[in-house]
Amino acid sequence: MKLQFVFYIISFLFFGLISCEEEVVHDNSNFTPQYVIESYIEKSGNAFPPYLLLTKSIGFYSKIDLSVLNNLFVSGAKVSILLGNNKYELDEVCLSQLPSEIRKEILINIGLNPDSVSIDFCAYIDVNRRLPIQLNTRYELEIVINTDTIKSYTTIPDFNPIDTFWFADVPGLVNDSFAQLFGRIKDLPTQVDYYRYFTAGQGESIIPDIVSVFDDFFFNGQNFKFTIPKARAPGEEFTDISGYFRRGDTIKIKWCNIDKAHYDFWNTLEVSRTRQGPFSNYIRIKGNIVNGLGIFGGQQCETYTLVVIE
Amino acid sequence: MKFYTTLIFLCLAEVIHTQKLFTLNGYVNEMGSGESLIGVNIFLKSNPTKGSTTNSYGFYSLTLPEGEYDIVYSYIGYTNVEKKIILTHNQSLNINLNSGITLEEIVISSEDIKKNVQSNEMGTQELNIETVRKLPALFGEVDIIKSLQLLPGISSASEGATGLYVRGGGPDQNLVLLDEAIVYNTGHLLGFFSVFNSDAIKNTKLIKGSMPAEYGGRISSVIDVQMKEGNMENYTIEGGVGLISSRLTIQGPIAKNKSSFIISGRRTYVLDLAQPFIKNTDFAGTNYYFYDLNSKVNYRLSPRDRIYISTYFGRDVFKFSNTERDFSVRLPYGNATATFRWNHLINNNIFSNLSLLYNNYNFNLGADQEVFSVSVKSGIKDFSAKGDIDYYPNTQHHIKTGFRYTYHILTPNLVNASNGEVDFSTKLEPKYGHESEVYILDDWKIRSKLGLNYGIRFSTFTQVGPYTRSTDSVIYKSGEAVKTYVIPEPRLVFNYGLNQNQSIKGGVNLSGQYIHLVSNSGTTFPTDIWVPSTEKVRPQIGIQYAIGYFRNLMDNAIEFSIETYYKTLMNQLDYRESYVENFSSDVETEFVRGNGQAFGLELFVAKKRGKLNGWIGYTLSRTERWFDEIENGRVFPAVYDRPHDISIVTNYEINKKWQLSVSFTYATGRRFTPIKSLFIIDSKPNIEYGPRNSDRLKDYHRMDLSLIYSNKNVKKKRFHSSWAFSIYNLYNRKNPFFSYTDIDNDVFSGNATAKQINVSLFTLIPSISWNFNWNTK
Repeated sequence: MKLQFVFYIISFLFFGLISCEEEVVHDNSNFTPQYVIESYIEKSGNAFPPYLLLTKSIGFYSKIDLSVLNNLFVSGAKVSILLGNNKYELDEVCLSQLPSEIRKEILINIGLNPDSVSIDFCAYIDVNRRLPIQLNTRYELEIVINTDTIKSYTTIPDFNPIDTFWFADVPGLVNDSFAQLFGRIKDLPTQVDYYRYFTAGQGESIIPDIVSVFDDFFFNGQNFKFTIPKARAPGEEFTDISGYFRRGDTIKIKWCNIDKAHYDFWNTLEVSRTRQGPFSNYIRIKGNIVNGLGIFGGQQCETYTLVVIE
Repeated sequence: MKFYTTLIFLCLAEVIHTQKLFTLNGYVNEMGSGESLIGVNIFLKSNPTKGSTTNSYGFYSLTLPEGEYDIVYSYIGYTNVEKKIILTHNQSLNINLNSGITLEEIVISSEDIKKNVQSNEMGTQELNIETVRKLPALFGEVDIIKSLQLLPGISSASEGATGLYVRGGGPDQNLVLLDEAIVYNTGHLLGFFSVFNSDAIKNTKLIKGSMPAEYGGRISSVIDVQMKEGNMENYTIEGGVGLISSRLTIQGPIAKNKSSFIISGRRTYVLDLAQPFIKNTDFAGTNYYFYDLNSKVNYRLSPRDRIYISTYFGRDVFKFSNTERDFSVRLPYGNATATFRWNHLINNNIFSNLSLLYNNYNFNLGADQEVFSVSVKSGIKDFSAKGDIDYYPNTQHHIKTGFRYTYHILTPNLVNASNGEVDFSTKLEPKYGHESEVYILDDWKIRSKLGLNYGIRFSTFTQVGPYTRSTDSVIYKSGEAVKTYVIPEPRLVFNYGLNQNQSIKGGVNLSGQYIHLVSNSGTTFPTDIWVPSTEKVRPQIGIQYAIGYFRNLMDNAIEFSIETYYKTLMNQLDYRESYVENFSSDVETEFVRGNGQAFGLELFVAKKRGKLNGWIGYTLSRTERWFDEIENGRVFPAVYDRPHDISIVTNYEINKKWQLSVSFTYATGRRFTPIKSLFIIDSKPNIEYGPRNSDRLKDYHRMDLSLIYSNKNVKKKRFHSSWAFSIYNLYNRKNPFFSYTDIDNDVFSGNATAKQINVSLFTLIPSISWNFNWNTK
């Protein structure tokens, strides 16, 4: 729990009625775009092949329209992943080149809603799965775009699965339509573990929650019981049933172990997104990309399919 | 160092060789209440440069050659008293001054009007509580700390906040004392209201410049707040009812002219009033309030001995409850202080005080949902002993010496949590430290035109066990020294009088600070943790150089000063880049160390007398910081770097019943870190920030007004009351308080928008409060 949240409530209760707002117009004239990387190497039973989205940062425009989006993705880069002495090049694949079913599958796998994506873009994918997926091994990323070179590295850590799942009544007032989900893990005592989780309601994309990462500081090496809240979709308001699963639904839980740099990136990014308010300070997102922004992250995951008790 | 030692010995030698003298001493009190008066000027009518002032307990001592003298007791806002003294032996004389002319005076400096020019002080202001009460106040809540923000060199953290940034220093660099006990958190409700209840306060002294050697432990300023002692002569009940709080103070004699007491309380009730509406919702039980309770008793054991016991206890209490989700939060936090003081007159010209002090700031948070629970505790607790001796060998010297010892217990964020099966804890240990100081200073009037206040303070801090060093797991037992720091702190102020009405003053002082507060927000927060100097965290050191020109005009009706300063700040602390609060590590591992500098020019013009009075203050300043580990050592402006800062305060006495006050403030916009760009990750836009503090909010300005109707000039009435009408932000200026970004998350729709929105908090706010006073005489 972030303590400042409590103070936001106080300040809202006290000052909410006496404030007023005014939009600020930004000057983006001195803005220089930077390359943005989002790339994952995943080990799991149903992992998507290693892929990379290469975009550019954009000025703080008042409207992010199709022309802005179409210029966002960077094409023609040489993207390679080094494992030991071997170099594996990723293929550039554009959505418009793919059959609609595969296009849809790709979008779901990279966390996008196929119905809301209205532009064509290209990603760099290890289409033929040539890159060996190994634990605790250094993967080095190298991207060459014209005269620019971008570098990063990551590892895939050991996996610590969820032992048990169970559902229980929601706390507070009786609610026959929803249940809350619990899980239990046996944390590994010999290392610091960093976890990330995603959820999907019935027929929905698997998405991370607003806070999706945590470490094992409080329960290192212990048999740990915890709640797994249903992730809120982008823009979804917090309501009385937020975090709960509808009874009878078939849901998915994706559970991952990630390394420290990968954790730091999501931890700073997720806190940065919530840093809105009079008393908060900015958080600079801590990526692991040299000469760019973003994340090159290894992860070992498992996706569980569960049926919520009636 | 050698220079200062030599200087002290030279001075003492000069004292010893003075001819045989007789001493006149005593206390100066307020007529009608018996309250001791601080800073009263006592001087020879025939030679006003020869004299003394009362100390913090109202005591004075004048040592003069045998002779006949006309002694003047002078205190602004009070009628002067003259006494003819034939000094052929040591004498004691207590004086009562009558506050008959308060309404016509603005009491910005509770000292003789020429003191601006003639004293060996600079960068010092005193605010009498009567002055503070006249000023317009947010929600009608009279606030000492916010009144200080109207003086040059002082700026606030943000709109309506009580945090102080003095001459470019951080909010933790102010030594805030309440009857000598340190107050670590001076704000209620996130700092919008100060913890000082004006009804219980007698006097506030701010030292922003050359700190005398008697003060230490902070590197920017001293805010020395004195509580009232309690009416020695009759019982009074006073109080007030305002929009958000009410106050009640009872004081009176326990044994007439020997012992007295004062109890003063204040509590807010905005959400109490809303309880009937909250009661039937899912949020039943949700509430917020704060309160303060001050008390003090004093007892005159003998003509030579007095004791004072004063306490303060204040809390903010927040409760949030949601029955829909079976979720509740409880959050109490606040300060407690206690002071025991024993004044003893060792002989006619040596006054001593021994103080035992306790202060405790603690923060607690508890949250529950079903079987899950979490609690967080942090705080700082001090046990101190302090001794001071005032020695008045003659009218040229006032020598002061003393010591202070403090045992600090600093509790980091101790987190305990439970999931109904297993209990979890951060297992962080409190940190302990011994802080000790000794000092000696001499306030020396070398000649009628030349004065010097010089001294030195030696401070040490030792971090002690129990402690386990994180790097090599070495365990230190309880009381075992881990790390010791020693800082010699020389202080010097000179005063050269060009004539009776003009002087040039200059000073240099070095101070050390061993206890630190590092905030990760735009202002200080109750959750911010005080941390001690340790192996990893070095003491902060500040060196300030200042020079100024001081002048009184129009028969001392107008006081003018211009001061410049340059300050270097070493071992400044900040959080490392990309720091995110967490409870899993010792917070000091998240700090980075750097340096800073601040420089500026301050103009101050005050009109003290007449129906129309007030002051104008202007500050031109810059404040910068640099850290090797933040933006590769780039020098960046501090968040409170505001080059231009103007305050204009006017009071006008319309007639004996109506009084009008208007204040205007203008300051360059507050610094913030701008958004540089957006980048898409996880199909959502994210913010990349530009260089730290490289942009500003728009300039801040506002005008406040207060109108006080009072019937207290109606004589022979025991009950007096007044109405205070106040308007905050008279012309409804929308000063930005903070910005937030509003970005569509569904960027791939092609219709997303990104906006930055400034929020103004306090637009035009009228308020009304009713105050009363009932007196048995």
